[in-house]
Amino acid sequence: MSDVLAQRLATYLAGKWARGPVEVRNLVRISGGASRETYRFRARPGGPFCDERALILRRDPPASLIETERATEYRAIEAFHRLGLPVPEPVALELSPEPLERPFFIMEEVENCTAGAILSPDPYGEFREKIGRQFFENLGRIARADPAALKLLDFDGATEPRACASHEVARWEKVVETDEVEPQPIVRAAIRWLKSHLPPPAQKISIVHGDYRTGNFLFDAEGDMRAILDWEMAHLGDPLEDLAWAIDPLWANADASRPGGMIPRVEAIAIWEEASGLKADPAALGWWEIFASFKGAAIWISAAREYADGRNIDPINAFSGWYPLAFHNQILAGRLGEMA
Amino acid sequence: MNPDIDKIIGYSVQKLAAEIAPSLSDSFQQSQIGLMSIVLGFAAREYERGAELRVGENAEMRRLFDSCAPKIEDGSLREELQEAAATKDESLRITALNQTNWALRRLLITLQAHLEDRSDDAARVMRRQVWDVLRKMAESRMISLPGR
Repeated sequence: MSDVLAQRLATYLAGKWARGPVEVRNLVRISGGASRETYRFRARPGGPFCDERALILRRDPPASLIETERATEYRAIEAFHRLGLPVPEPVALELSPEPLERPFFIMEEVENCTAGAILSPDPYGEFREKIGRQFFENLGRIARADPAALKLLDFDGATEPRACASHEVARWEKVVETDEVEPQPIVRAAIRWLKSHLPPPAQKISIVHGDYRTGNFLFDAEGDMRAILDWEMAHLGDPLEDLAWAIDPLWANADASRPGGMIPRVEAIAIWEEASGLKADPAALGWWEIFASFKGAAIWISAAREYADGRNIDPINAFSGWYPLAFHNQILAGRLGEMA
Repeated sequence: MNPDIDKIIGYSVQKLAAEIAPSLSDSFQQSQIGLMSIVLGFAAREYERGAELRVGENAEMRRLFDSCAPKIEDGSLREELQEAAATKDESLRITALNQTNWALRRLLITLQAHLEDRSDDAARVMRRQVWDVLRKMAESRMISLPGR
């Protein structure tokens, strides 16, 4: 199968680069989430002086964890790479299913790096503070960026600051409505609470990464953050949405005082505020934190449905329906129950 | 049945993780086996606790409905709560328990939404009772990761 895929990829790149035959080798599938098939490979363009390139292929699976606009991820990578954030260089986007059966894109591989394990008690070891400072600074830089200047104003999401929160609740409520197999009273209570306690309007409309967390960025042996990945849920919205998602207890092994297992929460928020030029109003952030756990629950419900229906039997989808969903239900029950 | 289901799954996971996965050269397939091992571990624990957990949840919800019903003015909802409170788990099959559990959960959602629309003291007390049940349910459904 991978030989056939390599051959088709070589044919595609030869046409794309128009410099003669392309040699593709070492094509191997790597872990990259259930919503895209991710492959690492080497490609040598034609011509005697062309260097071999280390590349990543991200191809749509037969069914996605969350249905996302496939061009979104590529365009976000392109925009933030251009802006100078640690984001891989984009190489090609192909929306036609013809070359590789399904739409895909190709980007540079950022080599000799690793991603933190999501559920590890200490994903960054001695680098946790160094990485934590970069992590929240880069998130602040994403929040600070102007979607118009990035030419991403046509992304999905709210374009009015006062509509951000309700837009996102509606979006994920629809996912729950569509994919819920068993009734979820805690998630339903969260939806009602979120709708009846909407936060103040966003300070600005930003590009929201949508899944900025441990496991979705790479760092090198010196503890330098080198690549922010998985932009497939990027959208327009309130930048506090990303901050709340990044500090969700699931990524901190339940230690909410040290988001992502990195730096203390107070320091993380201060760094984000400095880099973004925005304020993280505690009440508004509190609302977005409840939203983050709800959004997580909606994603896990959707993943479980994919698996139960046999549309995507990647074991990560079965795992998602059990551990993370139970985790977020517990977080939501604790937080909302306290306010009852 | 001997060996027990949890032993069969546990030893299968052990073989997958300790013998089969390391023999694979493909790191993606290795990570798939790692995840499958975790999920099978969850399934083994669910086999052991599944019936008790559902019977316990169903009993909690019935007790809540029994306690709330007299204080619900909406006649139709009160009747639904009384009827649900009087039901019993006739079968211990997981599929049967799930059907009952889901019906009770749907009624719990209706009850909670109804109580949120009321501002009287009795409703406030019942809202807390609902959250107590939901917290217990969330805790009982929580599943620990291997090695934790």
